[in-house]
Amino acid sequence: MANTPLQENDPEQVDLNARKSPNTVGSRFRRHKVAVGSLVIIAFLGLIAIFAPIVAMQDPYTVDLDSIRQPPSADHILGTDSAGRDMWARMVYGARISMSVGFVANVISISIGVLIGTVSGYVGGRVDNILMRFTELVMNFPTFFAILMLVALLGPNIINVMVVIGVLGWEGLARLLRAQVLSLREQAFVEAARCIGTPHYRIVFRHILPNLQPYILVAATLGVAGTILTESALSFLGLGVQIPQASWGSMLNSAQSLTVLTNSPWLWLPPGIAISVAVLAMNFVGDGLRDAFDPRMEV
Amino acid sequence: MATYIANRLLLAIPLVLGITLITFSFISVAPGDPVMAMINPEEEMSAANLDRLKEELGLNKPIIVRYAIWLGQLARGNFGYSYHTGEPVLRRIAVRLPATLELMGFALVASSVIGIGLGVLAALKQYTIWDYLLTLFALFSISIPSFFLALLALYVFALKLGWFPTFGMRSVAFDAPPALLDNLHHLVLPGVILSLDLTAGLTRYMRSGMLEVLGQEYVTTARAKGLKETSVVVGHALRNALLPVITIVTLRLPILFGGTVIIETMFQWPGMGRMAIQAISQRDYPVLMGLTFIAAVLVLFSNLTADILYAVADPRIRHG
Repeated sequence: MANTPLQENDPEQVDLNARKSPNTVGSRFRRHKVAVGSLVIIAFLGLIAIFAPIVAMQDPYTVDLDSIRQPPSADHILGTDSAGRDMWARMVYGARISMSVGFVANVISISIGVLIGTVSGYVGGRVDNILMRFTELVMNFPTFFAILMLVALLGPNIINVMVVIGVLGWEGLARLLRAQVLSLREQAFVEAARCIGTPHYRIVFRHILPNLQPYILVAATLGVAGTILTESALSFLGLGVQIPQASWGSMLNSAQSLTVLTNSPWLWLPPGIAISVAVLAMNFVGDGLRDAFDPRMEV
Repeated sequence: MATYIANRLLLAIPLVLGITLITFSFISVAPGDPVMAMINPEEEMSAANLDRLKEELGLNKPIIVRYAIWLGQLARGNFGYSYHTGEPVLRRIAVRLPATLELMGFALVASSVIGIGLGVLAALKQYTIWDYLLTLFALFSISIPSFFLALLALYVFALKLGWFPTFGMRSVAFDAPPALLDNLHHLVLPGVILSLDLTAGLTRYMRSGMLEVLGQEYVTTARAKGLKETSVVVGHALRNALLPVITIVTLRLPILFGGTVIIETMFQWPGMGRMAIQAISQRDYPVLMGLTFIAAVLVLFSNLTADILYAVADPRIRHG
């Protein structure tokens, strides 16, 4: 061959590539200092949740009626609640429950969203039509109101809270992914795969899903933030995690009484701050991820 | 335009039917029995009497029949009767509606004005400390739970500083100020907290909308022909950047409605949100169904309003 289309051994070319600053998603994310800091905070909260029995130092369920609503002291670094339980231990175990509810509920809604979005976009036709009408129906449910009612009717406990929040929170992602799949399906590499007879499941798993990854990742991060908020609101209203189990939201429940609100700030300030920090960190990470993938992404 | 609206209304009907049917079925199969909620647990009640009570309330018919009956009654303006007080549901809702509308209206107006203003400010001062602070404000408002903010506000402004009342819509004291002022005084804390989430959303949307529009050629043209900066910003940029905001405001109405449940409970505001919580704890199904219906209609109505306003505001998307 006379002409050399690929100059792999050209020294200048290699040099250029070597000097090029890394512009991967990871490096763009790392440049986002706030997002990186937030990721550290989330990892820290996650570790506390995992090692709760060690970090808590005391039992979160031991009722001690001789020392109720004690302000912070050496024995109880965050004081005690209305039944004399150690607040620090409850905060730590609360991290476990709040974060696992956020995580599990989100896994449920992401799974449903990915399934419906991909099937609807890839299969198209009548299936698409039916699935999208169904999605519209769920989308038009007054969400918080519906969650509230369902949890109350099914019985407020941690499992029901996870399931109900998860089952009612996938519409946005499903619609977003469907739109993406619709355009991916027409792209040359998918057409090529189809031409050489690749089976559909393989096209979906090898060609479509990997391209949806950024959307799913950003939606999942922002989704966890939203789910933690919803769970805390439910538990705050007394319709979520039930006493003696503690979630950050249910710990704030007692502050609905003005006496507690006025006289015992240590009962409601720490869990409130914990929720805010966790949600804020999740939102920062989500924003950072979106900017790293594509700032114009509409998740 | 008229055909477009009519079409959209027709499409909304199956959605309302679907939402109410699903809610109705869930309520019907859910554990917990309104009969049990009605009777005094201290007194023994014979099985025959229990059955008669169920019969009277129509609880032993199949779900679909009961739904059809409910729907038929609804068409005649009868939302059923509260299991708890025996009052007509429609009357109970009508009594509570104005309080919720007042709260939502305040939040809507406040967040539209403030959110749009802040968004424009952030866009005009892009990459300055103002822009940075406003972005931070928006993220904080979205992330901090409204009930925690409400607790903080109650603690600081109502209990410690004593600037605002802690609960209710108006004072009962004899020396209370004139009704309207008194009412507004009660409205400030819950109204502002309810509005924060929407304000934050609007600030972010308005900022990116303005930035996009300010980069358009017609803005450059307007500047090139020597228009004053204010008339470029207000007359050319703002008008076009406002378009997507219409959609955001109307589509967020249902979220605002959800927010009233928490805010009304915390500030003991006598509206529908607080009634919903009471109805849930009392298993007052007819009231819950009535509220679901109102909420579903509200959602669909806001979607429809969003589309129509958009079509009116933007001549490029006139629907047939």
